Amino acid sequence: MKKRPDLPPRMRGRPARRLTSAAVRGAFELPVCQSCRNVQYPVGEICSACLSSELRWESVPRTGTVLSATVVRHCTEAYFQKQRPILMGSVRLDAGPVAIVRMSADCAKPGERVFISNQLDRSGEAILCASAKSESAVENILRDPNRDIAGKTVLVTGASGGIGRELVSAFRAAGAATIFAAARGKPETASAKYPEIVPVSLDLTDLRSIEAAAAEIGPRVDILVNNAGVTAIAGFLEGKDIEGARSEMEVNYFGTLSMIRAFAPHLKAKRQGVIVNMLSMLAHVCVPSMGSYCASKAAAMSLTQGMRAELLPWGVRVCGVFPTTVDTATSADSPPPKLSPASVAREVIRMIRDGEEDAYPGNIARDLIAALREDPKTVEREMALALPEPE
Amino acid sequence: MQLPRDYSGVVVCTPVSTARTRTTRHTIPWFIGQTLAELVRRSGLSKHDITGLAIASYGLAPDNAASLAEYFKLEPTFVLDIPYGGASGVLAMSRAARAIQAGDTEVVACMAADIAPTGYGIYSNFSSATRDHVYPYGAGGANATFALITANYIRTYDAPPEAFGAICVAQRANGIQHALSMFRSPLSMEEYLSARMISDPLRLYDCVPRCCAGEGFLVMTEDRARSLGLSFVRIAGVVERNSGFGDDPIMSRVGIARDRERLYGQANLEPKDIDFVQAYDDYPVIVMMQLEALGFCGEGEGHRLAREKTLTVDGDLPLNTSGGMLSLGQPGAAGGFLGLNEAIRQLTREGMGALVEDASAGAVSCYGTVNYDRGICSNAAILTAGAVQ
Repeated sequence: MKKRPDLPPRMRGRPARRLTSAAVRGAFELPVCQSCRNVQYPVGEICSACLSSELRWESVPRTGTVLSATVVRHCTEAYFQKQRPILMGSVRLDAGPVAIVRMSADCAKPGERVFISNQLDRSGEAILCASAKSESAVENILRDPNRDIAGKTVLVTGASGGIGRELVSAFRAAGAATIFAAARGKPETASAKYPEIVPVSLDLTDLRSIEAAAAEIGPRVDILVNNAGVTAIAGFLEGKDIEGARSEMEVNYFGTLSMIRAFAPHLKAKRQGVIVNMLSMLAHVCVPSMGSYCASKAAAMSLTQGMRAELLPWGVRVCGVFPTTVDTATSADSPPPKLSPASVAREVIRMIRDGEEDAYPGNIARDLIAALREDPKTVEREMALALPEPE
Repeated sequence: MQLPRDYSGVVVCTPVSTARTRTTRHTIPWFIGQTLAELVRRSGLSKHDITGLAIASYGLAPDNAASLAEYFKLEPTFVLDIPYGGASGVLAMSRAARAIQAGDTEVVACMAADIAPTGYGIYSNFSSATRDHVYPYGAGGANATFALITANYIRTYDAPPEAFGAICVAQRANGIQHALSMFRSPLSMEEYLSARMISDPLRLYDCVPRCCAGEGFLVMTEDRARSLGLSFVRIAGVVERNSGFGDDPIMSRVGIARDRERLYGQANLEPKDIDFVQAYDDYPVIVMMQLEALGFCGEGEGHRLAREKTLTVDGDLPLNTSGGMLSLGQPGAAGGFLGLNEAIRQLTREGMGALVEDASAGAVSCYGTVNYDRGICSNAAILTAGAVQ
C-alpha cells in the first residue's frame, strides 16, 4: 500500500478493519466473547480471558473514564506533523478494556467521564475518540474539513424532485454558501427567495451538458450530491423492450458516473470534497417488480465503492445513501410506509457532519441492512414474494 | 520458594561496543560482522569456535541468526533470534547460558545491532496492536506511549519533574566520561527543565537519541574462559516476567516486581550488597519502576530515591554508569545490551568510562517490547565479579 504524506496511516490488520466497518455507520462495536462475555481490545480473534474462539462483534457502551493524557508534539508522519499538537489519551472503557484514543481538549483530565465515538479518519479508517460532550453530537476531533457544511458550495442533481428539493433546503439550513440546484430545464426552486440557491440546467443523459456544467461551476463545488434518478417500475420480463431498463441505467448509473468523472478533477485539485450518491436499499437486494431499477442502483453502489477507493487518496469522501421507499411522485403507487423526503435530506446532512460513509435513513432501512448482514438469502426470498402472482 | 537451577560453570565475558554514528549507509550485518570480528579478536578464539549465535535486531528481518551464520561461514549448533528489543540483553545471556549448561553448544556470541533508519520507521508496524490501535492516533511513537505512563506516575505518586531530571542529569555526568558518549558536556537541571516538550510531560532530555551501532558479548564455560585467559563475570541470578501485571489499567510497575525475592534468593544477596544498577533507560519513569522492583525503595517511591541518592559513578547508588542510552544513544534493539555490557565492564575493571570503586556485584534490569500500551518484557540479572586478568 502506497503511503500518502497527506493522509493518516492506512495500514490495519484484518480484525481491526472490522472496527472501520462499524465506524462507517457511526457504530461502536468490539469483539465480545460468546462464552465469558469478555470484551476484546486490542481487537483479536481469540478471547484473552477464556481462550474461546467464539467472538462476536457487538455494540458496547460508549462511555469510559480517562486514565491518562498527553499532547503529542513530535511525530513521525507528515500528516500528523501538520495536525500538531495532538491530544491523545488512554481511557478505561466501561466495556472493560483500556483504549488509546484521540481526545477533545475538554476531557483530557484523568478521572474525567467521557463519551467514545468511533470515527473515520481522512484515510477512511476507524479511530476511537473521546469527548466530554454528549453522544448526540459527534465532535470533529480528527479535524476533518469534509465534515463542515457551513460556507461550502453544493451541487444537487435532481433538484426539482421530492428528495432534491428537500436536499437543497437542508443544505441551505446547514449553512452552505451556495447551492447549485440542477435539473433538466431550469428547476423551479426557492431560488427567487434565497439568493444562495442557484438553478442550473443539467441533463444527465447528455455528456455535453454535464461537461458544460463542470467547466462553469466545477472549480467551486465542494459537495456533489448525485440525487437524480429514474425508475421504470418494471420487472425484467415486463414491457416489450428494454428501453426502460436502459434509461434507468443511463441516468442512475452512467449519469452518476459521468458526473463524478466531470467533477472529481476539481475536488482532487482541492484535496478535499464530498460526493454523496443517492442509492437505494434496493441496491442490496432485488425487488423483482422493479428489477431493472434495482440493477441500476446495484451498479451505482459498485460505482460508489470503486470511486471511494479511487478518490480516498485525494482526500475526497464518497458516501452512499440507502433509503427504503420515499414519499415522492415516483412512488405514488407504492404501498406505505414511506420515508418523508425531508427525513432523507436530514440524514444526508447528519452523515456528512458526523463523517460517516453510508447512511440508512429510517428504521426499516436499518432493520433491513442488519437482516442482510445476518442472512441475505432470507431477505431475497421475502422480496421475491412481493411479486404479484402471474395472471 | 522454588529457585531456578544456578548458572555455575558458565561465565560472561568480552563486552564489545562499536563506535556510534547517527546515520549510516551500511547494513545491519555490517555492524554485526564488526562486532563478531571484535569478539573473536578480543577472546583469542577462532571464528569456528563460535558454536552459538543469539541475535537481537529490529531491522535484520527477513534475515536472521541462521542466515548470519551462513554469511559469516559459521556452523553453530545453536541459533536464537530475540525480537524483544530493550529486554534482549539478559534474555540472550540466560538462554545462551542454559544451552551451554545443557551441552547443546559451547561458545555463544550474543550480538545486537540496528541502524537508525529502521529504528526510526519501525513504529508504524511495531506490533499488530501498535499498527491498529496506537500509531494511527498521532504517530507519536514510544514517546507518546510513555508520556501516558509518565503522566499517570506523576499524578499517582505526586512525582515532581526534578526527580526525572535527577536521573537524566546524573546519567549525563556518567556519560561524558565514557568513550562512546554522544554528548561531551554536562546537563544541568535548568537545561533539563527548560527543554521543549516532546509529548507532555516528556521533555527533550527524557528521550534517548537514536544511533547506529552493534553490541555483543560471549557466553562460555568458565573452564574455557580461564584457558583463554579472559576476564569474566558470573551469573548469580536471573528472573524474567513477560506480560506481568497485565490487569493494571495503566503501567505502574515492571513485571519483575513480583520476582524480587527469586532474584536475590538465587544470588544470596540483598539490595544493599549491590554496587551499581544498570537499568534500561528508555524513559526515566521506567528507570524508577525498575529501581522499585529491584528493592531499592518501595512501589511509587522511585522518584524520591532518584533525588535522595547520588546516581553518579561515585555516588551511593551508581546508576547506568556508562551514561546509558541517554548518553550512548539507542542503537535499536542493541540498546537492550548496553546495561549488560556495562555491568561486565564494571566487574572486570575494563571500563570505557569511569569505574565504580570495589564493585563486586551489580544488577542489570532490562525492559522492552511495546505491544500495545506498555513494554511487556521485563527481566533482570545479578552479576558478580569472576576473574580479572
